[in-house]
Amino acid sequence: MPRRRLMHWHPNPGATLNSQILAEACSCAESLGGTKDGRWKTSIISCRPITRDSMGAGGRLPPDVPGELLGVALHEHPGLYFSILRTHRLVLQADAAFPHVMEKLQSYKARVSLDFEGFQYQLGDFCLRIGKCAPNNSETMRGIIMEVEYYPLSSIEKSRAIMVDFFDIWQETLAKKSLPGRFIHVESNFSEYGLSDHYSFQHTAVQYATCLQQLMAVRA
Amino acid sequence: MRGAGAEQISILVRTIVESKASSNVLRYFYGIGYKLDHEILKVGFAFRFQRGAQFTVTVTSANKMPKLHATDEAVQVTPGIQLVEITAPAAANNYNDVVSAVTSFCEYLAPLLHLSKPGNSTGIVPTAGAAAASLM
Repeated sequence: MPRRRLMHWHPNPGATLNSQILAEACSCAESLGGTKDGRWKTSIISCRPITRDSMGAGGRLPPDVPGELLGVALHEHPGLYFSILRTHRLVLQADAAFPHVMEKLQSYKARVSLDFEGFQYQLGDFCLRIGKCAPNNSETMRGIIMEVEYYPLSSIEKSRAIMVDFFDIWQETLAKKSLPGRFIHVESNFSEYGLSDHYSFQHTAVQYATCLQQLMAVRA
Repeated sequence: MRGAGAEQISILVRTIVESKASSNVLRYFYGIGYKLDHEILKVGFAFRFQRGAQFTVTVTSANKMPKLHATDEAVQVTPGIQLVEITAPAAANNYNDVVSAVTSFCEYLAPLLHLSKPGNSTGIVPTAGAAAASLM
């Protein structure tokens, strides 16, 4: 499947996020010749372990149980669900019933849900998805992200140069708006997750988990 | 089964949640703190069809393995005896219809099956061939 690269907005020190940055990024896509062709959405669900009284003093967990599971739901593929165990560098691909399995097992419970959503633009061989990250049912913007998809190639290595070239053009165009920050791409270590050079949904899920970590770090 | 009418219903009702998963699913469950208790290899056939409800009929033998994941060395738990399971999903709004569809299908199949206790096979029903022919 076509290779995708996820970037997030890194504000300058002291600067804040606002919808004007998002609007400028969208108009930048249009000025490059992009045609808006719909909306997109990805959700990340953070699941925490359910502690039980039987687990001893204060209901603490056994030390080797991970503190967090990340669920990723790609709305363009509603039949799929991904669960990421960062501590073990594991990305599980399952179907939409999997959250119900976890609920029945009563070992982890969904705590926070974040929606990444916005508009999608077609630009020649590329597809740009620009949007904001906000908690489910809240308008508070936690981040601004951009996904670039390159249709002709699935190989991550082979598409690296063209992705960098595209990003350079994008940065140059956006720089003219003098916005207080810039988009950055943080590499995900795909091989640590056992993923190959051939791009897949699991790569997308891992990139969203990496992006979330970056967004949370910026806020801290 | 619990509640009013439980004695009249001759089938087992369970809540089942199923999900497909990628091949790293065992490592995932070990990762979140589960430990392997036992494994069983089920070998057989599954049939799916619509007959008043969405049926799945499986005919399987359960097999134990001397070592973890050693599917080539599997040994039947009940040699010569297989498990026939007839299942259909039901929701609150079609529950009674599914129950009657499953019950009637089971009656339809009954002449073909002999109930056996493990270690004590009653063999194939002598009239199985004729019963099957009459059903077709």
